Amino acid sequence: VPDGNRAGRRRPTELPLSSGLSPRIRAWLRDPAAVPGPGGPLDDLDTLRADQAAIGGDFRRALRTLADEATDEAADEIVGETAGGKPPGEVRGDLPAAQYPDPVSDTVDTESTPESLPEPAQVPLRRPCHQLSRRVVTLWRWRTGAGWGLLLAAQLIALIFLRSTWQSAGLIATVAVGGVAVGAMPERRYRVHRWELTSDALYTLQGWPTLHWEIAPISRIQNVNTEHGPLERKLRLATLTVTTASAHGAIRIEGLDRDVAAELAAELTRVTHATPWDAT
Amino acid sequence: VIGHTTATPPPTPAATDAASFGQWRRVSGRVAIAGPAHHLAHIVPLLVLSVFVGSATWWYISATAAVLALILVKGVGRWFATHYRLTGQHLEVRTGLLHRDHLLIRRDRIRGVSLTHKLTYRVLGLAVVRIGTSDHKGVALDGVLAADAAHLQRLLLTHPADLRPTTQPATTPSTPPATQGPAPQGAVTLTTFTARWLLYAPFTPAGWAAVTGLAGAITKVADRLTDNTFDTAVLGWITAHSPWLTAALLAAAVPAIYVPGSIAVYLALYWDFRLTREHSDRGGMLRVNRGLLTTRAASVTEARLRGVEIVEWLPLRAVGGAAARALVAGRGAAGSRMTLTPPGPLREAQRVCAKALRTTRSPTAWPLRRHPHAALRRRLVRGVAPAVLLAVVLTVAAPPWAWWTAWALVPALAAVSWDRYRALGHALTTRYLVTRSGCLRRHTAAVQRTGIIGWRISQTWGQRRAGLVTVSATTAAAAGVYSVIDIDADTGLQLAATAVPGLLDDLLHHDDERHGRRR
Repeated sequence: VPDGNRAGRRRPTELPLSSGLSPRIRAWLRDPAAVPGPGGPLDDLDTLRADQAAIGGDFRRALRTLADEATDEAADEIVGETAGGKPPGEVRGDLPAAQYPDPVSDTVDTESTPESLPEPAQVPLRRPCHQLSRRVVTLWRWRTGAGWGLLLAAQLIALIFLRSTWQSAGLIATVAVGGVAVGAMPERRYRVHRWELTSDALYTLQGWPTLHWEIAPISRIQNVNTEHGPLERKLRLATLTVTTASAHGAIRIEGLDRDVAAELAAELTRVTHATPWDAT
Repeated sequence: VIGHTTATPPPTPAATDAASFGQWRRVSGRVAIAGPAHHLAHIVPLLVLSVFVGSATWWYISATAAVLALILVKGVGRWFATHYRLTGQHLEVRTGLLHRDHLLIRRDRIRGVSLTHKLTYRVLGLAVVRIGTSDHKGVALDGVLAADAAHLQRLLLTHPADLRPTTQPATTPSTPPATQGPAPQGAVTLTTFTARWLLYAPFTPAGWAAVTGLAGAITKVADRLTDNTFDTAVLGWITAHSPWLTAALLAAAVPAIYVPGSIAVYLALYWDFRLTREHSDRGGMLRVNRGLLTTRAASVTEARLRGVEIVEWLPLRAVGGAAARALVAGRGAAGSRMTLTPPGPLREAQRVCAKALRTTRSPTAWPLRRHPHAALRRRLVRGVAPAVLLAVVLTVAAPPWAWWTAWALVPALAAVSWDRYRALGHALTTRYLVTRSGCLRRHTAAVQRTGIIGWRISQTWGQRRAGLVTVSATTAAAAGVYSVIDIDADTGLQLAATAVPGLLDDLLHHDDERHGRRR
């Protein structure tokens, strides 16, 4: 897992919780008057940069989110100020109208091309900002590989005793479908799966070919649970399960970096305990 | 007295004195007899039949007796081991002779309490008290005296806030606050059993139980009487006569069993149906009583209501009938769903829903917004395309009668698809999110908007191409998730964002805004 190790070491000191923005910037977005300084964080782009670096987020991404969330005047201001060597309008200039390219995919996951992604413009939801650990691809590859491998082995054994055209055809089909499942599926899923803890909810996008967006308000979360299977332990991954009072409301995020999962679980447990009632 | 656990619980007081709920007590000793009696009631007809048929041997009878004796021993053991008590904060239940289990249920987590009186239990004056809670699978107290059970039910549903030490005067610790159960203050009847409802019974699926049960019993007895040659005799008769005659006989026989059978089942389930609302200090409380042989009484506090649903099976819908149910928060025996009206006139179902929700018009009765035509296309593709494919294959490679039936299925499936599309609809009222779907079992659910505890939005590959999504609201009640199927992506998200204000604001693209700013 050469790629994954690097991603693991670049662990943020504090979990980048809300859209990858520093708390100061978020506070300013909520209420500019509450943040000291004449122009809030916009006053000093260096501070802003340092702020963002401290939580391990990406500065460009933060600015982009900022531009998206801020009022029109503030957005103009940001775009003007972003300059820093880049032409004005760069931040928003690269956003096509029909498609909102994901900030994460073009910085972290460099191989992914826009065509390979499901079109987000079809569903007017923005993507959650965090990807899973890159090592999850290895996990899924092994796991699906094991399943298809077993089927293949069974078919091969059957072939020893009984030979027919049907059986050969079945074997070829298994190799073809299994090959696609092991070769393409994990990569696809990795590109799709995302999560985010906003100020009010846990927000995830998972699944391929069927996409599932799930939104669980923090105030309704009842239980937070992390699991580590044997293979997951080896890859330093974890699965986080969040349950609500609904029989179908559980959100399961597989393939988080172990430490990120622990931090997320701790944060969720903290905020959940602050909710006084039983969330039904 | 409260909070004091005696090492050896005192013997069960026979009196129905309310104060004794504060101390450890057993369920009634009669439950030990009730178990075998209940089984005996089931076995006796079989036993008589087997004697009559002549298959009863000495072994058979002694084995039955041994099983009954075991059940009796088990009943005695369970009665001996089960204790319960009600304190100000908790209901405690201890069970198990070998594997001891001590269950502590917080009273403010109790969501609903239902009473069931099986026929044998009614004779013995007993009841099963089922307690549903929000975070546990619930617990059942089997064999509480009927009079105690009703009182216990009322006590369990009283507001624990009034029982907390802070609100209790500290000077009266000797009277357990748990015992000060409120008497119902004037119950309002929302609906009662009407003989006219019986007309709808033949259109419910209940009759199938009667048909299959009777058919099974007949073949079994006939097999015994004819030394297992009944099947071959029937097959021989069918092959000897015209298939049309068999079909005609079946067409006459099935309704002849189905109609009285369904009416009997309906009566057994819903005889003496009564939906009432009582006012206690915990707010309003809905209560349902029903049943002919086994009587049931379920109560839920109105604070637990998360909406209503109207269910229409296809035949019932054809005659303008429906059943109404309440969606109740909580899992386990007493939670999830409660019958508001049994299968009956749709208008009555809507009226009772409105009454139960304290609205002038039931949210399920409002006109619904149609879904885009792409949804119809999806229904047709998914419903009809496989049948067409099958028919084409059969036309090539099967005898004529096979592909004739396959082709005949196509228009029927198209009609079903069309009906399924027509069923799709949604609406948003000031307090409820309404969604409808289904053909064979059309289902209209109104979910309280404040009871929505999350969203799941899903999009399959086909939906992605058509620009549709399925928007599902999760709730703590009943099915747990209610879906608006195949809605236009923008409309769907708008619906979700409006239904629960604020939650999605942060996650939605505001297209017009973005465009405007970019220009």
